Amino acid sequence: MRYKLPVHCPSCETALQVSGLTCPQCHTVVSGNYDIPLFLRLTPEEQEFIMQFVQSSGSLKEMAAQLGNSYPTVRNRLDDIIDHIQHLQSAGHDHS
Amino acid sequence: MTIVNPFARYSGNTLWAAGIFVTIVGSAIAYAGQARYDGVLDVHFSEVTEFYRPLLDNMLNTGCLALFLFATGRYINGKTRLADIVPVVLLSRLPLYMLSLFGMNATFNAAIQDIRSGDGIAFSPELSGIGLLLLIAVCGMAALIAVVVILRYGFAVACRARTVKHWMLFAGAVLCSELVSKLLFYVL
Repeated sequence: MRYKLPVHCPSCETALQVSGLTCPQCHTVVSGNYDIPLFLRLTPEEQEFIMQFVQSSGSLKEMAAQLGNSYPTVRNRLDDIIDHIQHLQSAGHDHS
Repeated sequence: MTIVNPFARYSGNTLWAAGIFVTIVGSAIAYAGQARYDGVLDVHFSEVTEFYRPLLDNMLNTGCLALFLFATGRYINGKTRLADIVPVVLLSRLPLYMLSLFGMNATFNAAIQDIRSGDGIAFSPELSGIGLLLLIAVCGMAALIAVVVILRYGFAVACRARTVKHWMLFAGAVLCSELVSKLLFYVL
């Protein structure tokens, strides 16, 4: 089973930070405070869409054919993701 | 059961081919049923002498509505394409074309003749004629609603319309195109 990376605090909804990383081979642990990259803060569906977008060389027409959706539907989905990214960026600026 | 918006699934050549097919067949039915479309949201039964008249009506109405919706779509979303709007408009007219099937019915034509012969004076059609006219009125309302619903779903996909403001603009565009098309038919 693939576990979903939590990006928001389940208690107060604040964006979570990475405070520990572990090497699965030698179990070395790195501690600190790192922001979760913006890409990982998108929903799994949005991440999947962006991956497909890159793999199809940015061709929305090709993506529409692959997904079985119309061209404007795919373009609207991309615009939704752009809006979400801009929202996350502006929220990030507000916090810093 | 969920109904999939066809405009979210199909685009490009498929919708264009379906739209052109519907327009040509609809115009042929209109000629057979002696129907004219002298406005974006109008169907009238009168004598149609030339077979190409309903087709010209439909081309003018489609062009008028498509241009208004395209301009509105561009205002809402700069990425809106005319190529996504025109097939929506072409297909949205299908319910209006189906109304012209009434013109091929002899009983309906007799009821229409009753009204025409009245021409400004009180008329007294047969009871069956009143029933038929009532049926046509209900079908006309249903067709009008169907046209708006098809346009609404197609427009939403074509230009990412979502907010109340977008739908107010959409309604304004449809009403303006109706007014302008009426004027064009009056002038031409």
